[in-house]
Amino acid sequence: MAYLLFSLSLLLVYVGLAQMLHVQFGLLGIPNFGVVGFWGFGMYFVGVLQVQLSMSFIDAMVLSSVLLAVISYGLGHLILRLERQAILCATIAFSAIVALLIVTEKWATMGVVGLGTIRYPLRVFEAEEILHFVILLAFVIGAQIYLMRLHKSRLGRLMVAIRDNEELAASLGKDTFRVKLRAFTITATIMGILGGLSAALNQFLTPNMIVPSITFAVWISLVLGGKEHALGGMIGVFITFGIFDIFIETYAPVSPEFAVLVPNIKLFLYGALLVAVLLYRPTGLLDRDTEPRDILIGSLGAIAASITAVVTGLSWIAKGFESLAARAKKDDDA
Amino acid sequence: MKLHMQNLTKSYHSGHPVLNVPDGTLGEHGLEGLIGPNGAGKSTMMGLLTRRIAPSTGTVSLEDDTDLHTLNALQSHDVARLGLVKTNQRIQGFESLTIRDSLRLAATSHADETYRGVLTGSEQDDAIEADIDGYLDRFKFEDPDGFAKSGGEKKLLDILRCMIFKPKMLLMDEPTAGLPEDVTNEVMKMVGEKVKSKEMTVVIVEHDLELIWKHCKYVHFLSEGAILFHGTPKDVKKNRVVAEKYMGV
Ligand SMILES: Nc1ncnc2c1ncn2[C@@H]1O[C@H](COP(=O)(O)OP(=O)(O)O)[C@@H](O)[C@H]1O
Ligand SMILES: [Mg+2]
Repeated sequence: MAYLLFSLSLLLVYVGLAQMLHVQFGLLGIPNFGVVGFWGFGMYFVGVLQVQLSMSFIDAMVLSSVLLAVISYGLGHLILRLERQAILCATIAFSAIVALLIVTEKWATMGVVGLGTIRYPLRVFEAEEILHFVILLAFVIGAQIYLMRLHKSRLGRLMVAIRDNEELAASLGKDTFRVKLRAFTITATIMGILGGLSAALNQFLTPNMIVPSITFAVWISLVLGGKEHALGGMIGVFITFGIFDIFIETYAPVSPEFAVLVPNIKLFLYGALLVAVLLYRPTGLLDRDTEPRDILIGSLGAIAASITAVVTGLSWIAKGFESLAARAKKDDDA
Repeated sequence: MKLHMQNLTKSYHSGHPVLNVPDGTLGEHGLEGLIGPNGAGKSTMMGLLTRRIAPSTGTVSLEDDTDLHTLNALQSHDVARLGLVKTNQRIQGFESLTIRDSLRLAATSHADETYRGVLTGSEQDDAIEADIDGYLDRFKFEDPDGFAKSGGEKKLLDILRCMIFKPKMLLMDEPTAGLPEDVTNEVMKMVGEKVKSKEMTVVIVEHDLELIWKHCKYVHFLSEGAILFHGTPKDVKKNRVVAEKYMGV
């Protein structure tokens, strides 16, 4: 139960990151490949302030967010006028710098030894995990409501126009750089806030949590779910993280001997699904006009189908290995 | 609204200037034409005037009823906010916006595109919607509630976006290339009305000289980056340089 709650909380963090990336890349065309950097900055900064300086969670969160907002604003100023490839490289570099500093600045982060223990912010009711989950849930729902409204708003229309043709938007009196800079600063800071909320979730922080695969997971989810749809990131995370990580790891009927294989099979299925989507539906599962009703029907169908497929597939594979093992044993005996 | 150019030059890597205007003024006569052979620098001049292209040397300034604004320090969007926009020779558009949304974008003030507006909900602006209906009644699209389909529709939409923006001065770079004749006529009629009612001054780059002679009060002739002659259509038609360099006589 505790593990499931942890997984679901982590899932919400991923949904939040995908929502922010949707604004950056899906709406504005800013390819932020340093997602883990912003998230990791928030997580470590909040962690360090709480553990080393005994700051309260709220103070740590506010301080971290203000600092990250300033950093994102500065970074945005430097890179948002550049070509997309340059933005991509610069954001990767940013996340690499964050990861490096976490290892080298041992006086604050404890380096590879790890930093802990970070306690949950709300400790009122003996149900801190559940409360923390509820906070994350509220956060993600709030963000989702805002996103849906953004899509129907004038600001959303402007963002899409900037993504499509920035020069043309500027020639119609739109300060495109300012719009991008603001949106980037806000969403990057929120990625840091999600990091801050993940600190307590993980309780003990180590540098190997700040790895590019987190960035990739968020990107894959968004591209898979549909980068231009308000719900694309969320659906993508449900499918990748929800089905593959939580469902399979928790419930799939795999015998313990073969459990070590699950992560590899998972990666393989991840990749296969992504390739299939990119081949047959390049906009992602949801394109920009997909209606909510279709999403509901489609996702229920898809979830049922994939769970069935994955479970059947895994049990087949498991059976195959078992019979292999049995045969090998027989051979040994003989 | 008038545009002044002083020692305005633009050179690319080769060094030889593609445009070189020691002194020039556009927009004194309501509806003006800018003609010249391909590669003369007409589009370059329009890009320099709207700050889409940065000049190598010189200044551009914009004179309205009250002020003289030097445009050099400004960015593209600042120039548009002063009331100067241009239509594009090459097809430009927002591929994910419908015709109506594209027009709404152009008609909406940047001050209304806020984060707070996302929360408070942005009711439709009736004046803007009425304007859009007016344009879509006058100009027929195959699917007026959907997307611009053909190149011609995209080109027309580009012009309508500029119109609904309500500029004080409009530069049109080969607006009719790719438009059917009846649409061209309707566009020119509309432009004529707006100029007559003093809503805007317009400068048109065109290869269709009949159109220029018919509509323009004043014509500038550009060749190899320099304004070689300017005058009324009658004078320009009679001019020997223009005839030799352009009309192949
Ligand atoms: N980006 C550029 N780099 C180099 N040369 C250019 C560029 N843009 C335009 N030119 C050159 O400038 C000259 C003028 O081009 P342009 O202004 O498009 O002419 P026009 O619109 O009168 O046909 C042409 O010789 C063209 O090759
Ligand atoms: Mg041209």
